[in-house]
Amino acid sequence: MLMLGLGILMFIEFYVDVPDSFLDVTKSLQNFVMIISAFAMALGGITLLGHHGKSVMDKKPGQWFYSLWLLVVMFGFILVGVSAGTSGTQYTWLFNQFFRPIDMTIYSLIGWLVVYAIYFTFRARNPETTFLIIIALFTLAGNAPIGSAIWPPIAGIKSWLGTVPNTAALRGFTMASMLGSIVISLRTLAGMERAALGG
Amino acid sequence: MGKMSILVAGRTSGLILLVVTSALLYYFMKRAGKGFVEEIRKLPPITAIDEAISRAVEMGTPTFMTYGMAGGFTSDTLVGLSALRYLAKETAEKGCELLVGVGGPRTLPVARENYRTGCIEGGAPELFKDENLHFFTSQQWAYASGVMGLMEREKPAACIFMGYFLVEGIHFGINCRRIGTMSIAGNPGLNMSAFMFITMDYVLFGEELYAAGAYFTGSPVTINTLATEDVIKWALVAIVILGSVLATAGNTMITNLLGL
Amino acid sequence: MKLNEKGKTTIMDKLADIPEQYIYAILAVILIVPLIKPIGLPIPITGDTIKFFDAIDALEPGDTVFFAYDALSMTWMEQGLGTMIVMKHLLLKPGIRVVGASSSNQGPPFWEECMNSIGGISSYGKEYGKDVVYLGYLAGGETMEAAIARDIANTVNVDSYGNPLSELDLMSEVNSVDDFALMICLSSGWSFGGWMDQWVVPYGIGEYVIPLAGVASDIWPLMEAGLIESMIAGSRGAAEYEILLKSPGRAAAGMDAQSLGHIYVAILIIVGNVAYFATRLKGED
Repeated sequence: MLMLGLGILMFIEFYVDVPDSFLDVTKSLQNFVMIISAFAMALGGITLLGHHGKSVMDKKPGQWFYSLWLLVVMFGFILVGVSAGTSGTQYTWLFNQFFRPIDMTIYSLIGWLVVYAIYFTFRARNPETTFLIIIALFTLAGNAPIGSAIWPPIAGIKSWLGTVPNTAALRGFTMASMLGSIVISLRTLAGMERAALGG
Repeated sequence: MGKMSILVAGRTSGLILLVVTSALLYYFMKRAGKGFVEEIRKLPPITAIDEAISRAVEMGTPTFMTYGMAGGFTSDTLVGLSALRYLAKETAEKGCELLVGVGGPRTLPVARENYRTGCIEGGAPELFKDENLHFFTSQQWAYASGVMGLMEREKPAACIFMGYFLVEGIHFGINCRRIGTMSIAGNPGLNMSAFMFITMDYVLFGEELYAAGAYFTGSPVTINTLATEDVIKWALVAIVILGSVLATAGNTMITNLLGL
Repeated sequence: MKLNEKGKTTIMDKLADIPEQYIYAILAVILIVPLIKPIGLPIPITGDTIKFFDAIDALEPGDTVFFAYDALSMTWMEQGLGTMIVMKHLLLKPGIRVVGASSSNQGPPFWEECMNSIGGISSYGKEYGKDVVYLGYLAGGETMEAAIARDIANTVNVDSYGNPLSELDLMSEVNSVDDFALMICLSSGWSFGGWMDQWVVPYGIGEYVIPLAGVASDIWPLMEAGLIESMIAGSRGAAEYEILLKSPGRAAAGMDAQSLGHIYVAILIIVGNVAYFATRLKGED
């Protein structure tokens, strides 16, 4: 009932021209959400501490060393961030030397993996995949700067592919997907969604 | 703020959609209560789940499941949690261990409860083990690395990904191919589904994931709510066709109505 | 791999199943060589980049721009170049003010990096607090975005450096979405959607996005619908912008590698299909 009540409150605030006093209530609710989001990060930290702390204490074979390193790095970042601020040079140094290279490396693997995945997947096994391959080749040619330099109309073709069939498909897909999302959200507000309550 | 405008400009059509959806939802839920349950076709990826779990049982390896790294209870995460409970029940019935990868810290206690409840419903509460729940945080690459590492170490025969995924889906797909596991995925986003589509064995796209979510709960009321989506979709198709024809003829009535 | 009558694999069998290590090795060479020795392939400018550029060029002195700075470390290499060149354009224009805020917790370090990379605010004759303010990371996602659209001062007390907003001259002149001429969103993933829902849809402000190239296909329909004004996607968009601003940099320099990489992928598709059909025909014989 609480979920439903708060949900209806937010719906009213979004759709109805409400007085300022009503807006104060919903603003407070929004601030509560922001505070809870910040606390969720702390909760995550505590959960990690428990999980990996136990691994270290139990000297879990093949795992405890990695858990110890995780805890050292986690507390290092927290201590530096709290004491010197996240805009400070020490935190920025830690961020640039530890976090950034790893993050960028794993993200940039996508480019490599996609090339391999395209190679073994894009085989003309049936009419649909043949069509897919043709579209993919046009899009590749249009995306590459040299493509439109060699054959200028390719940019127009790629643009048409993106703005007409892609738009049509995406809109249909998005509408259907959002409808599903709306129905699940309404079910959750009405308390019908057991998954959210842990069974 | 004039007394004449009760509703905020530009949001009336959205409100009408919300009211109609809520009314239809209520109607179909009531129908379920009276015993009229809508029929839904079983999607191939859902059929493949049984096959995947049987494969894991035959090979004597665990099944792995993860519902994505969303920090909060988004609609796709809720479907993932339903899938977790369903898989916990199915694996418990077949005597197979289930490994779970968790992203968001807020969802961890709920995931634990769904896992435990699923094992109990499957008749094997002893298969619920807290150490089978692996928390990887909701930081994208920490989560992705953790999942891939777990897959490499445990070599599950079946990997099921249902929920909120971004580009790490391609990492999971290539990893599944490398370790020779059977992979089933469900993702509501079109863009990210593409990565999973080209690398995984079975994929649920967009609203198919939400339909699967209703199937996983097994509740007639939840299954009936899918009919709400279908009715509204047909109505939207009719509006789009009518609006396109009228707009082509120079009449923007539908466009203006939708913009209210 | 299938064996032929002599018990060996043919060249077509091998081409149909190239090990991934070879694919990656060839790709590495194709990408690294033009970065070391540029070829100088042409870079045509697209309409989206021109529209983005013209929108900033058309700003009048006294206009304020809101910069939703949702940077992420993993995508900075791709989006950072576009962000820096757009920020440079904004700072080059006299009288234009910028207020930045991040819904991503990685925003602050990259704001500093952007400013340092383009030479700092003062090198453009601008002053922090008067011409540029950065509110820092604001938690809360769309809830926060909706709140600051209505009332920044009621939502945020201090900027990223701990200065009270009341002490910043610029913040006494801007307090809500209505005070901004347009909005630029450095979008990590789909964060532009949240800003669109909370700023564009209710209030009608123009949103210009700096997205990842892979997200561009999601933005085209929104541009068609008029919800997003324009975008400069990925490093190609950044390269085009650098050329328009007559300030070619790293983005433009990387376009040779991008062109050759695309050609390589197209060749792989063709080779894979030729080998696939050749092995299939052999199997049917």
